[in-house]
Amino acid sequence: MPQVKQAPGGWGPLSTLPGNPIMWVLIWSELLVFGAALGGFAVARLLDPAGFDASQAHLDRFLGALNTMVLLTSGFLAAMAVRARADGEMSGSRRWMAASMAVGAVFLYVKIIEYADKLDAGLDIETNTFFTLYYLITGFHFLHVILGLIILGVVTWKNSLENLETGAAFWHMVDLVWVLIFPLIYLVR
Amino acid sequence: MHAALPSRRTLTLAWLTLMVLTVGAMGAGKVGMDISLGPVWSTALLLIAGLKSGLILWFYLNLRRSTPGWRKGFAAFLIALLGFILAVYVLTLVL
Repeated sequence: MPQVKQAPGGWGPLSTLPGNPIMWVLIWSELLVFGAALGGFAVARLLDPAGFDASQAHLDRFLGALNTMVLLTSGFLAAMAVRARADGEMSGSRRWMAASMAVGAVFLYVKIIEYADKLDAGLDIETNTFFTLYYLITGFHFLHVILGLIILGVVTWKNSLENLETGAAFWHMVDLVWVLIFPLIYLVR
Repeated sequence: MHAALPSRRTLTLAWLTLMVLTVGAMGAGKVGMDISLGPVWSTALLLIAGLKSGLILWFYLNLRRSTPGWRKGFAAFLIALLGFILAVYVLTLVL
């Protein structure tokens, strides 16, 4: 019987990705779920472009952009933490990751301000299709940010290089998803 | 030193580029104005989003050290998603 060549670690092609391969299964699942949600949002807008544009005007585009910069900066700090750990700087790595988490928490704070502002204006999840999708998509992402911060906390504690790469990979996926959410929900009109 | 990871300088340059692209997206998206964007600026926004996603994948997620198969897979995902969104947007203008 011919031998099948397999990458070291027994994870096949997943072994060539940084961090734990299981995290990449999760990352792909999340990207597909968010991708379907964003595709659904685009189709829903097709059915009621005027209604969607009028609703979108209630969003704070500056806060959306600010949060994009906040999350990208947090991702950068997480990448620097992995780099520092690879260079053998244990405490330096922890400091970078702590900074990444602190900046990531700013994202949550800004988003809570946004949600509170919308709810005060009477714009809730049942207002119309736009706001239903806005709350569902950004709310699901918000939960991922919370989960990401928990994961970053755990890998800061148990900070082997593989753990840090795995935690940072999840965090970068959360970044990437927001980079796609921001233009579609806040800007395109 | 871990050779497979991007250097601090590369990571910093990637972050600066992402910041500049975000400012570019704010300009293309006419953040301060409640006016329709039209197909050109909307396409620009989606292209910028694609570029930013690519930078995150390439440098932060370090796909540059992965296999061509993974790189093509992620690129195909982004092109399919952003292409679909753009196609639906254009359809909205036509209908």
